[in-house]
Amino acid sequence: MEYRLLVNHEEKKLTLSSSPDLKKTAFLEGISHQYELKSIGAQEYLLELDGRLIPFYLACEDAKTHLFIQGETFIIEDQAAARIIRRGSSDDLARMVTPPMPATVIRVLVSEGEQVERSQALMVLSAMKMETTLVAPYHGRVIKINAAPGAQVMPGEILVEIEPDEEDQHGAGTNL
Amino acid sequence: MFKKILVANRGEIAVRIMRTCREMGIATIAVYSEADRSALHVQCADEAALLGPSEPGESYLNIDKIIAAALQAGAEAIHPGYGFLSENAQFASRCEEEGIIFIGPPASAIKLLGDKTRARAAMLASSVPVIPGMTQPEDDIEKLSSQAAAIGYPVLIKAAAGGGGKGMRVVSDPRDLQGAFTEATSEARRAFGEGAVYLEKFLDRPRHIEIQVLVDRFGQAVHLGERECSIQRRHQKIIEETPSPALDANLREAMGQAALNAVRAAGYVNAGTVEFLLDNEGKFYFLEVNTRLQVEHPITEMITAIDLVRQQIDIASGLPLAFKQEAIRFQGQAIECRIYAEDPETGFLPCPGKILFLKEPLGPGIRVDSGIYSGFTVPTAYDPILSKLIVHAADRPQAIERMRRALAEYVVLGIKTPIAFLREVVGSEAFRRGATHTRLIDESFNPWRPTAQMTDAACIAYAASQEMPRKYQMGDGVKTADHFPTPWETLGSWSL
Repeated sequence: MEYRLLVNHEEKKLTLSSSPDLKKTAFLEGISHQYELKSIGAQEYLLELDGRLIPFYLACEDAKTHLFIQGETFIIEDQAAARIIRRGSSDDLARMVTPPMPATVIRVLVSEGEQVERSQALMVLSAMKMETTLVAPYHGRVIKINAAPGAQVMPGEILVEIEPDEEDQHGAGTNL
Repeated sequence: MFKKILVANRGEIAVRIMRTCREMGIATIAVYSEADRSALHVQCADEAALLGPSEPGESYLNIDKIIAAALQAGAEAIHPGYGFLSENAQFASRCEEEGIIFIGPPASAIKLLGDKTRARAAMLASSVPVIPGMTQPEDDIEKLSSQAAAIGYPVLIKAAAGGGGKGMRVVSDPRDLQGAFTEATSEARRAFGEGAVYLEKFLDRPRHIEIQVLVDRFGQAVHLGERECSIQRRHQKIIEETPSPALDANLREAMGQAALNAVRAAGYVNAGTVEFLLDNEGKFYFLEVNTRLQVEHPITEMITAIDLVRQQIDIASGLPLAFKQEAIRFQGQAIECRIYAEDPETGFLPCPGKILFLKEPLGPGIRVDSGIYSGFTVPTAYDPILSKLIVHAADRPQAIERMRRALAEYVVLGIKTPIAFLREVVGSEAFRRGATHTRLIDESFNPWRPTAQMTDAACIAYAASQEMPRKYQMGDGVKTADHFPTPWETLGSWSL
């Protein structure tokens, strides 16, 4: 998989791949590295990078990941994820299909390509034993669904991307 | 001995005081503001009393509210910590009036030492060396010239009316005095409408050395050696160590005796710290007395094995000092780094916020006096100190390596801290040589940018964590798996 990251504001591109013998390889700036990763605790990991063991720690806040590794701290923004996990202004939020609180996806009620009406139910979420239904903010066509049943989702993540119909163009760009 | 003490402070120092109280079998009362409802010090006490809104004047600086809380809970004594009301003579006398023991010096000593002119006069009377200088402005160049010779070059010309560097000139050569005097006078006249100037001894990049003292109610006094506090940013200490690389046994004894003379001159009781400036010729000058427990007190505790908070409580309860000067031994080297919520890349601007993840260093010779935890939101209303990392080792080189190891293990995610910066300063050639002075950070580490050696590893670490099975991924500190992964599951991830 390809990654385009902003690491302390510096752009970095890398690709991770698994070869048939299950060796994991990272390609970064023309160099390939062998790696393995082990999850230790909730936010603690152990990376084996080219034979060297390196513990690291991470925490997410909004679209940023704070990562501590060998005495250095990095703030990483995932450019690929930024399209989906992006905080909008409160104005935008009214037009976004995003959970009001951290939640789990229970059911997805529409599929990609489907035409939806304003206020049509799109997805059922569960948070703290309460079910919430997310509805379409406007008429349009579902172009992408970003979460499947069982997924943990956070406020700000756009779960269903809808292309507005001609007569409902206002703010069309905000959810893309 | 007291049965119950109210700790009139917050954060790491309140936690640290409560720990000693617990060891002494004394119950503690925490006080807190609305901003500190979930602060660590509230969780470490036996009882807690809400003072009021976050503004210090409505909470930690509010004498009436703190006294009321102490009376309500039946506290026999109040420990003020540092900052807030710790050097407030009015608070100390109010405690006295209410029949509560103030764990600190008498109000009269706080008052005397808080007045810089009176303190200077008291020190001169007790032959404690003060920075040589004139007490009155002078406009006659002949008289200034003879004053300068008496003080000794280099001298500093200062405007009587001013500050902020205006009308200030350093003169190293007697031949330059006339010219500098003319310049300073006209500059002062332009800036302050008054050209009067006076002279003071100029100290070039002095060291900031302080002596810890303990005085009991019976007049017995000991000093516990020095703390070297020369590494500062924004005129505030950030790294301290003891012993100082600049002191030998003779100078230590001379400064220790001067410190004892200083506190005796003020009728001092309890723990105190006498601050001196030390020039590069080994001459030292009285600066001020801090009439409280210092932030950096743990380094003295490490090399003397004396718990200063316990001593403060013992003295306040009327016990005599249990040891004499000859019994005090200094063992090894201790260094402290202060961990603030601030950004060394922006000139140390405070940056409070939520601590998303915290892991403190452990192991031989490590002490962390901390007021934070994972998930704690650092309030904006108070001093941005989070914790202090203290190391103790057999000698200075080992203490430096221990500090660097500990800083590299210190994980604070979510807010900016100077941890990486401190690691670089402690590892610098100047620090290793012991060539520290009060302008070191301004001259050598400002501006500062982290030297990132792990950027590539960080990229791979991040990307690899994104490819882990979804249930192990954590967002915003929320546990997303409904249970902690068992070894069967985590072992499995090696081959996935």
